[in-house]
Amino acid sequence: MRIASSLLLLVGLGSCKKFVQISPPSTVIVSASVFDNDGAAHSALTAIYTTMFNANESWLVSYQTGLLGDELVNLDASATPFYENNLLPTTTVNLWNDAYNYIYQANAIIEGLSTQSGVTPAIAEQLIGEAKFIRAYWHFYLVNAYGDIPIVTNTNYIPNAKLSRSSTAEVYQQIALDLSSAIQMLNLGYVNQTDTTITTDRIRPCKAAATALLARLYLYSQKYDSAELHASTTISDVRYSLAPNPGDAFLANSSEAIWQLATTQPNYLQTGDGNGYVLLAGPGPLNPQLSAWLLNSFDSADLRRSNWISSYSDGTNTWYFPYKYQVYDDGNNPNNRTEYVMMLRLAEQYLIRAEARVQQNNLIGAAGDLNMIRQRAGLHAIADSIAADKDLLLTAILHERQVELFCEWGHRWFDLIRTANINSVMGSPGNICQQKGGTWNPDGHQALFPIQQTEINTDPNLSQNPGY
Amino acid sequence: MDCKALFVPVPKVRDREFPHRRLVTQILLKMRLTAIMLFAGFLHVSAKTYSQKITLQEKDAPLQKVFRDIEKQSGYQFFFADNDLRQTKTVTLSVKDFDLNEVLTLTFKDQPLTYSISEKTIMVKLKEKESEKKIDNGPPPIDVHGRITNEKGEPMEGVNVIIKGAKSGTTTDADGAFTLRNVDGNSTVIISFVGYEQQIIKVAGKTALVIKLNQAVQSLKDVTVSKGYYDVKQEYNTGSVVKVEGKDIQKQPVSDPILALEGRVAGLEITQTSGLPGTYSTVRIRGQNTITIGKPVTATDPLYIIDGVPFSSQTLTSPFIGGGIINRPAPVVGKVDGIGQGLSPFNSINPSDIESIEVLKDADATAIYGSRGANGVILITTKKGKSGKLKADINLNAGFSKATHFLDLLNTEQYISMRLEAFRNDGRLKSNLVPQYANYYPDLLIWDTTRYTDWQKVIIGNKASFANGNISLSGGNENTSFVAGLGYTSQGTTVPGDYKDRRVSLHLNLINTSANKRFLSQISVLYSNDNSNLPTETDLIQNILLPPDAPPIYDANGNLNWATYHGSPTWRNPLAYSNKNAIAITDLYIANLGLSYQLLQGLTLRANLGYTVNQMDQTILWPGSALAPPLNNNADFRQSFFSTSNNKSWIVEPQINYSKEAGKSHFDLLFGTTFQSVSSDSRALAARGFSSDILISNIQAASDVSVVGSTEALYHYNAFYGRAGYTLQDRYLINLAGRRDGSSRFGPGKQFGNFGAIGIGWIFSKDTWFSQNLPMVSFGKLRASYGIAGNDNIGDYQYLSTYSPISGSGSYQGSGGLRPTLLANSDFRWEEIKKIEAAVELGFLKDRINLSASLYRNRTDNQLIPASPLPNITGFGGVTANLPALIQNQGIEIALSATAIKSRSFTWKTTGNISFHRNKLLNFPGIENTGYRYSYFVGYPLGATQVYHYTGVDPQTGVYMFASKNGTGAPLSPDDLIIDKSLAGPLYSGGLENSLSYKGLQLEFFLQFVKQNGQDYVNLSPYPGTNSNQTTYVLNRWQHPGDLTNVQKFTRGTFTQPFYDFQLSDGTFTDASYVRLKYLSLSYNLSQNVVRKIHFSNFMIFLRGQNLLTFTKYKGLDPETQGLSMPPMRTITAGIQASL
Repeated sequence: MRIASSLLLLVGLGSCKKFVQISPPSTVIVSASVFDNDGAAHSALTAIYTTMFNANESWLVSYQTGLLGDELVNLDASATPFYENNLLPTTTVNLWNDAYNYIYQANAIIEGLSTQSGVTPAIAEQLIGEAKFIRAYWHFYLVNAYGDIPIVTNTNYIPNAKLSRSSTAEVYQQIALDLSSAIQMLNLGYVNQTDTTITTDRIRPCKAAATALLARLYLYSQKYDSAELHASTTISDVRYSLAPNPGDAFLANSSEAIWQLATTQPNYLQTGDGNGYVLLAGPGPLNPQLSAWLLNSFDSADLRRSNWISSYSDGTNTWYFPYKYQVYDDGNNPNNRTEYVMMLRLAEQYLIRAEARVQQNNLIGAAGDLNMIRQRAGLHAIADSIAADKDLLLTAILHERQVELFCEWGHRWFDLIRTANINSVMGSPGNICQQKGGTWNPDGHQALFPIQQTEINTDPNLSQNPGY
Repeated sequence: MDCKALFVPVPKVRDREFPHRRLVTQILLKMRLTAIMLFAGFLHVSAKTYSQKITLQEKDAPLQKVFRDIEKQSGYQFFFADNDLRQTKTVTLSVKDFDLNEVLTLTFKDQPLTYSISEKTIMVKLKEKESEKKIDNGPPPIDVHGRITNEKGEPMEGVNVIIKGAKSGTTTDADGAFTLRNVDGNSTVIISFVGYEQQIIKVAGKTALVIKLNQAVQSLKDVTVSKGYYDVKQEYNTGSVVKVEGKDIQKQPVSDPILALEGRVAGLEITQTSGLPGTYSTVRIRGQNTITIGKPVTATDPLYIIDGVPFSSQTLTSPFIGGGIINRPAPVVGKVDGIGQGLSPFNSINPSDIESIEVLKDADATAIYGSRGANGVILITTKKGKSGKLKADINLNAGFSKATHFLDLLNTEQYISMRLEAFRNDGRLKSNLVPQYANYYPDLLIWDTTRYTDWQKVIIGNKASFANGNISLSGGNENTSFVAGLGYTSQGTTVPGDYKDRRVSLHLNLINTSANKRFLSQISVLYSNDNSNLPTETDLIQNILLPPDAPPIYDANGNLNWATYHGSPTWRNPLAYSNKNAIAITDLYIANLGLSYQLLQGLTLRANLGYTVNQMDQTILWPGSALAPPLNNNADFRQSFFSTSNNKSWIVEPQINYSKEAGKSHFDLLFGTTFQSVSSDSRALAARGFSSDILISNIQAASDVSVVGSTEALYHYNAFYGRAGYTLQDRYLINLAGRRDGSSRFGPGKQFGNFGAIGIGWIFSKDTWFSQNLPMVSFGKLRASYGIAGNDNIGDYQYLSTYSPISGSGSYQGSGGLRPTLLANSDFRWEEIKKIEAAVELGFLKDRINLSASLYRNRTDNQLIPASPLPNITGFGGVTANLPALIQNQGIEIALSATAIKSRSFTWKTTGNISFHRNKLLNFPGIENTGYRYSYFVGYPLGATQVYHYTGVDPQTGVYMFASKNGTGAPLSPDDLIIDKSLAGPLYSGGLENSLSYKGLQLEFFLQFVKQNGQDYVNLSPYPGTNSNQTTYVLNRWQHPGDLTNVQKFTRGTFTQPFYDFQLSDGTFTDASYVRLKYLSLSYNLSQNVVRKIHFSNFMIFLRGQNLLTFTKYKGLDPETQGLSMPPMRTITAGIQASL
């Protein structure tokens, strides 16, 4: 009977609702509590930088646009669609997915910190400022790579899954709004892990970073007075100066760094760019090399040619590669350098202001800015004849951008597009595309990435770029 | 151990409902053994000696108590029916050192009972009435001795011998002998044994009987099938249940029991994903009930139950570390993780431990599993203890496996000319084939273009060893019976390298019954250790397409050859993996305790308690020696990964059963509740920076160790379930089943759901009209069922919005990052399936021919998708949601079994099944606004695909052409896509088994057939002209304007778009039907004379083969795995099976 009664007891236990209500696993944190806690909110934001570094975003953008344009050579089959300007909606381009994921995380932080009160206000302000900056940063890359794109400013997937594309002007407007807001909220100096105390590590965006990006945005949107104004703000900031030796420009916390990404593994100092470009042997299938077009653009006296480009030779053949970042995964670390990934730097601000000044017919001021860059590169000042001619000076600035900013965050490719030079360089008469083995369509549609087919499939309101 | 079990002819409840009860009554067990220490327990029982002198001190004691006291002292056992003792008086008795006979005489004085002693059993029965005695004028009682053998003359142990009309009987001993004492010379003896024809013999005064039993024709209706919480004879079953016997599983040389089911069960579709040991198979019962894109593969898996305990079909392989062939893709934020690959958990189960597997298909059978029955249920029952003399069974076999098929690939000359032609076609020969770019074209510029290697032979051409051994012991006495089995299996691979999957398993089952037969306990323990050492590369087989002029694998020094050119390797040596290892050690423990207590007549309480632990330790080693120079000597690149994954679950299932016979009606009621908890966790570490390869498996030697991932999950599940069965006149059947389920996988307020089913049946052959008019129809039943089951197979915590640490990715400003885990939606509900079925079951010619046909239709609504695709602009690729898609699966299943020939020495039996299955997406409102609009199509099967319509190769330009709206032959827009059903699954499939035996020789073979379309090899190959080998089929390519062919011109990159479009077109669809000789077994039983001489009771030698022949028109490696994956292996083994 004892057995019987214990069995009866078991049957009688009945259903309890509590039994099926379980607490979340200890390996995750419920979203609501993330934004109730200073440390957790900080971790949610810096996760974006960790991911950006680990995903080698800097290298990917420069590698893919470098192949598309005239900077790199790579004949490996996997790179052929880029090299031959033959991208398909099915070609894997990480930019779209990655950028929108960063934007989602930024939106989640903005929403979480705007509604919760658990985080110290000063910290919340800095974190929201950074999140807005990140949202602006990635919208900027998306709009330049893809043309018109959906603007995403919240985390609600139901409306977001049906977004259609906004015009480039609208995207620029949103970016300007975010950056202006970020300038208001961000600290003047670089913050450390407390999010409020100032440190020397330039690895978190501050007011100056937002200002510098805004200067670039205004240049791209041809608001030259604003571009000049914002570039001037950074140039006149005493914290920044051009590194006297170009070879030092990409070191951690270099004097011209406005914002850098730190390496995420304390024991390893190599960047994605260093890993991706440095050749320690003849190029394997995945190693790109610098193109003759780029190599030939350098003046022989250019210090950047000797500092930022290196080569590997087997005695017969010589392969050239970008050497802005010199630390490589395989223990190659000349002079025990510490490098961070350069996100924004002062040299670009000079070139922005130079171009903005030319457009506003301040040729003298423009030549002055241009010569700052040339001087650091060991080159003589620009010839007076050029300095006095608006068109020639613009061309000279564009050329200077090519050799100063090569293989860096897609500058060359985006410059060709925004200055409407892409057809003449890639197509006739430059015929770069043809020389690479591809065919350049005069309609210029290859200037933009195709929207990924999976996105078109999943969002009924998303249209493909014309020509694809 | 020389116990004689006695047969009790009148069990209190009907067999078909309570097999455990029958077992109890059959073997007259008493509860004495309390220790699990089985052997010790036996020794204890047999060693005990009994005194023949009895001392009793009883005062007004009930008769049962006196019996117990006598039993304790004498070792004799009383045998009686409870009813008979109702009228008895209490006993008052005081004796010291009396003989047993004297004590018995005193005890039975004044009782309305009589007794007789047979062996050590005291049979008690009511005194016969005077009126009956008068009729009894026959001859005086006699003793009858007899011996029972099978058709081959071998003695049969445990055969029931009972006297008709009397409630007594006996069973035969190991020599097949029996004795019946004091038998009426006119009586009739009934001799029966499971699986043999019953014999009725008139004693007619004879005192010696020699009886030969014939094997019964296997009749479907006599098989008792388990429906999980209750058992039922197939004759009275209202649901769709197919039983596969363990012996049919064990005769196939496979290490995964699931693979042995392939083709055997109508409506059960099993597809092997790879021919390597331990890999996953897709298992579907009656098709795909749910949208799978965005779901874990396990979402379509049936519910597996091993001895009453749910068994997770989810792999334990860590998602965090690259495990090669056992790889499980890493979780992607917003996507569902663990896409089902990895080592199959069934690889831990020894097929030899399996008694039977039941496949539950329709609502009647599955609704009692409620929220988990949607995809059907597979019940695995392990072997149970059998009482009798200690018996040892041994099965040893060994053999080898080889790949079943190879491709016809280009030789070096053909390959090189293909490459050059491709460059010429692209017009870029001069600009490209220059030394500057030599590294890009090593096959043309660097390697020796006269070399030839048959890479298929190198990569998949090896012989894989196969060895299997099982030994089991069984036996028991009146109270306790047991079986203990030990098994070992080792299986190699066809790829180079010392790779093996080895498993040791132990199985123990113990059944114990109390003296009053009311309490039954059963303990079953399963343990296995699987050691899988497999390559770390996922798609090794891709290497068969290496250029045939690729360099030698090893250099002059015997090291891996990297064929370096200017310091860089020119190829990825395909055997680099052979220096890497992916080791997974799995320990599986399943312990189960079943208790049952008969409270009152017909009322039984039961409880099922189970605990399962499944854990896996993985080690993945990437030594420098697997890398090309210059990386091979860099500490940072010597890496190793370690992970531990655990899955622990417990279940408590108390249950009440009630059964009652009332006139022509029979009721069965069952009510129970389930509490189940599953906790799982997984942790993975990555280590790098080893100074030497020899240190690589020691994590302490690493300079850098990081946590790659850590997860944990808890699943709680609670349910009430019940079942009511009613039978009228033994022919009208009705069965109701229901369940209320709660699952922690749903958000608050959505956790509970209700499920249920009704099944009805009519055994029309029992109506007199049929038996008189259609005597050849020996059995006929119509049955139908309808019900609702559910599916909660979506993974845990999908409703929670959470942040998780970024795994193994370092830190920023000294702290680790937190990232949103997924897009959460707390508003989702159960997925529901409505199943309807109608079936007819027929037996002809005394059940020599059995035929059953089922017609079914399943409809699933309310699709629950964990990662319903979203555009990435939402930040994630998907979200958990219910979608209003209505999916229908319908079909016909026919099963036939027949004994074609049956004579004294020759038997030919055949069984077969065929299924016709159709799947259709009936409705999906708003599909245009979801990510599924290019994946699924209303009105088409879920497997339908959108493709271009291939129209041929343009005779002028030599490129593929397609139907296109703009008329150019090059598809431009999604409008050019058509929907094609070719990949929607088989049109029909099935299997046919033949079993022929002639005296001791037996031949069995099983043919599996599938009629289907598939994608040919071209779909997965790179374009002809690139640096990858091709089948000789491409030699037929276009070369000159005017050529009419189906292969476009070779290209090195210029004409790739038409090729990619071709891969996306119906041009790659081909007939992938096949007939496969799945297995063949030839065995010979040594004659009894020989067997006895070598002291065995049975000895068989056999030769067996798996996947021996495949008949197909398929263009590619294998029509089952299709594409470029490891084809199933052909295995041939030889061995012995013997009993001691």
